[in-house]
Amino acid sequence: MEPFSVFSLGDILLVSIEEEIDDFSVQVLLDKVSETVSRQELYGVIVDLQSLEVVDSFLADHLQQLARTLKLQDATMVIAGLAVPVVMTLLDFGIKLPDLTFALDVEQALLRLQEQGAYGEGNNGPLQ
Amino acid sequence: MEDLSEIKLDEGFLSEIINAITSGIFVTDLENNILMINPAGARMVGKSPGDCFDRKCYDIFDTPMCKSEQCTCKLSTSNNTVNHGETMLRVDGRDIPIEFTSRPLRNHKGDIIGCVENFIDISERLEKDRIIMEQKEGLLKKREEDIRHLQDEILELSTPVIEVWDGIVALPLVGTLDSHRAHTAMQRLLESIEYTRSSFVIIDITGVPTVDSEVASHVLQTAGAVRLMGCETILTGVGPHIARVISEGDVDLDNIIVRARMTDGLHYAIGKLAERKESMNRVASLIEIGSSQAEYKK
Repeated sequence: MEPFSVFSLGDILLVSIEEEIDDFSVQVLLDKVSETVSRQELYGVIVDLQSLEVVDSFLADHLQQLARTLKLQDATMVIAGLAVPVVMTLLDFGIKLPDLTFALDVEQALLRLQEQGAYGEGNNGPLQ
Repeated sequence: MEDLSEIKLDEGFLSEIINAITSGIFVTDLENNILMINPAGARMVGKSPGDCFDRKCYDIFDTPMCKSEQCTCKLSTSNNTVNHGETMLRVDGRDIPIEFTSRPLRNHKGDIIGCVENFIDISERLEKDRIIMEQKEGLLKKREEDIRHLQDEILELSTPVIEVWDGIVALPLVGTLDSHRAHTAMQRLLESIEYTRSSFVIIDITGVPTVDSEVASHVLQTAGAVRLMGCETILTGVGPHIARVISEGDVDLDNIIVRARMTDGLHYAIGKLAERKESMNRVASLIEIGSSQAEYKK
């Protein structure tokens, strides 16, 4: 079983990463998300990291890379649910994650996607 | 039965007194030969006074300063001074700490003819000193711990995180910021963001008189952490001095929205929250339209 799950919420992809994802699975996940976004013409991806206890530099780098990839595919990625200890560790390690957008939880992430113009003027398309 | 006052202070009686003394005493001539030693002195090196007579003092008493320029007999006889100090006496492969005093011995004409040395075993005293030191250190440590504990309590009190609006928390910083305090403030802020599910944080530094570049970077680091929580930071109350410190440092102000006063910051955050609510309502209505259209198509 893969240490992550991917749900489709209409035009948004919700990716939930389980605790202790290994480096290989991270790569598998990245490929899968990128392909799905391209195939289904999704405009937003929410990555839920609520169950993670630590985000290492490998995962951080790959998430950044995924965000850049998705940007080129005209999709926005939002990271949701980082816990306080995770944030403190990231800071201690000096990991900055400049290319990522963050939200408190999945609900806020959905809001964030709307705010970023996914439903904006001239782009009411996905729902109509 | 003789009374003490009736005893003549002759040689025999004086040596009797010397033999009764519990610290070690010996007399040497100028060639380091032991002329006299009391039983306590000989016992310290595991010998009897008879073993020591006419032997060189450095053969009997082995200390680091023997046979060197530091020889206490040589020092006191050549300089005509009283010499005292502490050293280690080596007996059967074991070191005994001793304290010694040596003074020159004169004949009737006043010429220096030898040296009197007395010494005591101070290992017990050192042991006691050590215990006292240990206790002192323990006390100091405990006091430091108490102080640290109190500091923590003060920290707790001095970095309140206030929920000022639904979805907005404020962190008014007052007084001097050190890195420890900044760290605590950051942690508490993050925890309260998680707890209150807030989208905006207002950090007000009106009450901070001055910052150095390190503290400035702490504030900005906090803003970075807040961003990772999916929250926006509004920095307010930056005085001219602090503004200069921050701008002189090589810092990234991208994550931060700055407003002059806390009021302005609150206005901004409330406005943004209202915008978001509106966009959410619009989406909700769009979904409604979408679903009614779908029904219509059926």
